[in-house]
Amino acid sequence: MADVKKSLRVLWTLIRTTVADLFTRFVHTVEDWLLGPKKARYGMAITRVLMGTAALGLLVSDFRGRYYHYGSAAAWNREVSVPTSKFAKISLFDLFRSLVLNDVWLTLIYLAVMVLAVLVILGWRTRIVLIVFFFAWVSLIAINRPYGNQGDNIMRIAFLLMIFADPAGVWSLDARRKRKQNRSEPTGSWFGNLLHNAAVALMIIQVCIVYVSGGLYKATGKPWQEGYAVYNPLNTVRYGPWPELNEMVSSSTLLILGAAWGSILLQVFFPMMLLNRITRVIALLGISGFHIGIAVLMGLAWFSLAMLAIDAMLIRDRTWQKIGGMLTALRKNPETLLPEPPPAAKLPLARRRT
Amino acid sequence: MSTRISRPQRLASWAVAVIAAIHIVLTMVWVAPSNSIVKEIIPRKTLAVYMEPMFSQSWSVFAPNPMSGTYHLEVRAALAGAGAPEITEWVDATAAEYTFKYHQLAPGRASKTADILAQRFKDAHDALVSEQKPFVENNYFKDDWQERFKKRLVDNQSSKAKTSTYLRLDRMVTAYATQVAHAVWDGEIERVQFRVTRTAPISFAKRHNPDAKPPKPTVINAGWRGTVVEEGQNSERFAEFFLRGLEGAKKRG
Repeated sequence: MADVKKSLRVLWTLIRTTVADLFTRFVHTVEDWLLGPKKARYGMAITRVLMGTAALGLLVSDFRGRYYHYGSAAAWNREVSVPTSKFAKISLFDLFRSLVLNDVWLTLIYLAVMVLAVLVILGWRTRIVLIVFFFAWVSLIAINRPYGNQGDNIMRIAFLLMIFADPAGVWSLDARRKRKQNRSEPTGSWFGNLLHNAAVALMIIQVCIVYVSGGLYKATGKPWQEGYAVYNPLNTVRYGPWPELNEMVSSSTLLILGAAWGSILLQVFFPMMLLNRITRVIALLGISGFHIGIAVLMGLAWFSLAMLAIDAMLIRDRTWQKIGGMLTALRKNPETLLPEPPPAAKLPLARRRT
Repeated sequence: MSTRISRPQRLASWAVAVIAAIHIVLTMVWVAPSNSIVKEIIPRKTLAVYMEPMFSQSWSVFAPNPMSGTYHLEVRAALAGAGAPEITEWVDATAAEYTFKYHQLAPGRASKTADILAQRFKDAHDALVSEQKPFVENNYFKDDWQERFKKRLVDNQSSKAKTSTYLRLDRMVTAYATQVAHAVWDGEIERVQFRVTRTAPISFAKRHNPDAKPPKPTVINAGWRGTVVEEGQNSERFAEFFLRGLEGAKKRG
């Protein structure tokens, strides 16, 4: 009897200490990750550049139609007097509604937001520029909310989170300026690191939520289960800038089926695939193909670019640095990329006499 | 590393972690199907106070049933003349704007104006009750036509919100149609008429069948309406963009 009691006590101690140990390790992992060096610095720099490009792209593609879409030619939609966006109730996100019916004001505002987007891409005085850009961007996009899409939502959330992070620590004019001023780049303040790392985590988790929920919703639909789902939107005018291409894709049952089931599996398993290096590469290649397909076939270029922008943080900084190194070598010293020529001593003696 | 973290740093990191975790959970609940039983724990309206508008999002856009119809918005007008007004032919506004999307790598949003307007109108119209729908097809363009039209619909309504949404869209399409009319036809526009069509493609199963016919399109024929011009409307700016689109549509044949 005493043996049983002793064994139970040992078992209990074992359980207690294991749980305590796991808990402590969990606590330390979280703290170390959040308070440690900034994660995905290069990845987020790419995110900044691509998101800025997506915003700029959206503005450029509607530049010729700016009056028709946001301005005086669109007064028939009464967005100025009876706005549909909930942002209209928040004055900081409603900066332009009273001005857009004036052609000169609209053009000035439009150009100003484009300039801000360029500054975001270049990474010039990024924090303050991002903040001003954020309010201006949301204010402008909100003016014609019925014509937006989910890309507006993901871009807004990503820009918001980037304000708390350090998207211009590298590969930006800010970084170059700090290097010139010889400001040694310490590991950064612990608070800055905390906010940056939290932003990275939130952006990645947000994107995983997008993929998994999208995949699960798809899986509940008959067209997706039966595999023909993508045929439908591809054969609408709204998502058919290249009807011939859509026609070609539609004629291949294998492509249609692959797109439907492939996207469901890829989306639903995306976060899990990130945990292993090989599956992560497969997941990123797959999701990039998914976004590029949507961009080209459905005319949703900027939405796709914004998603690719956030996915960029899932590529390790080491890989980004390697790519950066290769591009720099390509620019400055292309020969360094070629394999080394054999040393002269190995040449046969006969050659050396000439 | 852990041994060198001070107490305030630790507290701050956990505060941030907890806030982030709560935000993630709320986001997941928001993104989840709205008719799930989670609404007994967190009603959607309450959650909306936190999530909207900053974190608005919905990822069921092409699922479970992806979009399968093409919308067309057509407009014609009655031009004031010496005798009876001259009725013009129908102009497909959606096709005109498609010019700005066709073979573009990055089409602007302006190219889907009529397309989305048509969809919004059809959705609002479908939400009306059968007692109200016949009035949509009637003509309202004389004197205080807007008041009379509104009264007819309100008298037969079952939902105040749905009726007012419909009236807003009817007015919007009328105002859009007025601009199309001003752009395309010279002369005094007496009244305008629009119709919204939704066509679906041949079903996937039948797509290789040469005898297959696409499903019958649904058409909503609105009656004649008086012209509506909203405050601040610049007809020239509308025309310069729209006519370019129309040119392109004619070239495409």
